[in-house]
Amino acid sequence: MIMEANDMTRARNGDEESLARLLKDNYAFVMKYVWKMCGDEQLAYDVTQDTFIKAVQKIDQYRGTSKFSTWLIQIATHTYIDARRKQQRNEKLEQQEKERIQLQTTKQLPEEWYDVQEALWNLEEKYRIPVLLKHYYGFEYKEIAKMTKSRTGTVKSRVHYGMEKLRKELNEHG
Amino acid sequence: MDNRNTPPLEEKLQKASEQIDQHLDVEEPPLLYFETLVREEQQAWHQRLWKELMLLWAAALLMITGLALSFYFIPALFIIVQGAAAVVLLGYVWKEKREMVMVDK
Repeated sequence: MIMEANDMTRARNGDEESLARLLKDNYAFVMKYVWKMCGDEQLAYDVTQDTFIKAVQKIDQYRGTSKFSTWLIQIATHTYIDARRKQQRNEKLEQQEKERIQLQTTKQLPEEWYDVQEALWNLEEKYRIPVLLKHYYGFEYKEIAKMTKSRTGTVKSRVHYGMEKLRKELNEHG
Repeated sequence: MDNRNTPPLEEKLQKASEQIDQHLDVEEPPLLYFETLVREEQQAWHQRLWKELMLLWAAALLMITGLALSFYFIPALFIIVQGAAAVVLLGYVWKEKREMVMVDK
């Protein structure tokens, strides 16, 4: 913890090695977050890579008011939303590919947890991201609003409706 | 269906997240990869910033020259440009304020 704080101070002062160490320490965390959000392994690697490039470019904008991992999650969320917008045109092909990859990667998970994750992926993105940030990671509504560039009230209602839909789906299949 | 022993959905989601974290196998690159990434991206970023700064200075120089010439030779054009700039600036401020994210205190 103290070492991370030292690395953080040095990284913000331009120390490349400290920044590289911080990025390495947070790589798996960010990658797993994006993967849980989209279920597409390749997209998760791409978004993580873009997130880290942006973090390097904007490190002087990190003020240390939140944890470094929270700051990375915020960048990853914006990067993922942008990437999805660009992908909209090839939606059909990608849906088939996504289903194939999700099946490959998640077949190793115990069935109970796979069902929960699958139900989450079946949610519309506008519900999925806030639900994931709130109940997988325990972020505050205010933080989620910042991460998703929405209003706090909108986030609250999306988490609420998302949870209702999840409950319904899991009860139907459970 | 007996729901008494079923954990609440929130708890179920947290457990699912922990389980997935444990089962996901992430290929983490070595430290050297991150060191190279940081070095290359910082270099590229600084080059880009310098390029943009140069372009900005060039554009500003052209505009100031144009405005100075118009002030002496076509004063009406100078006034129109000043008025248009004020309108654009006000429009920009208004648009930014409208798009600002509202966060509860």
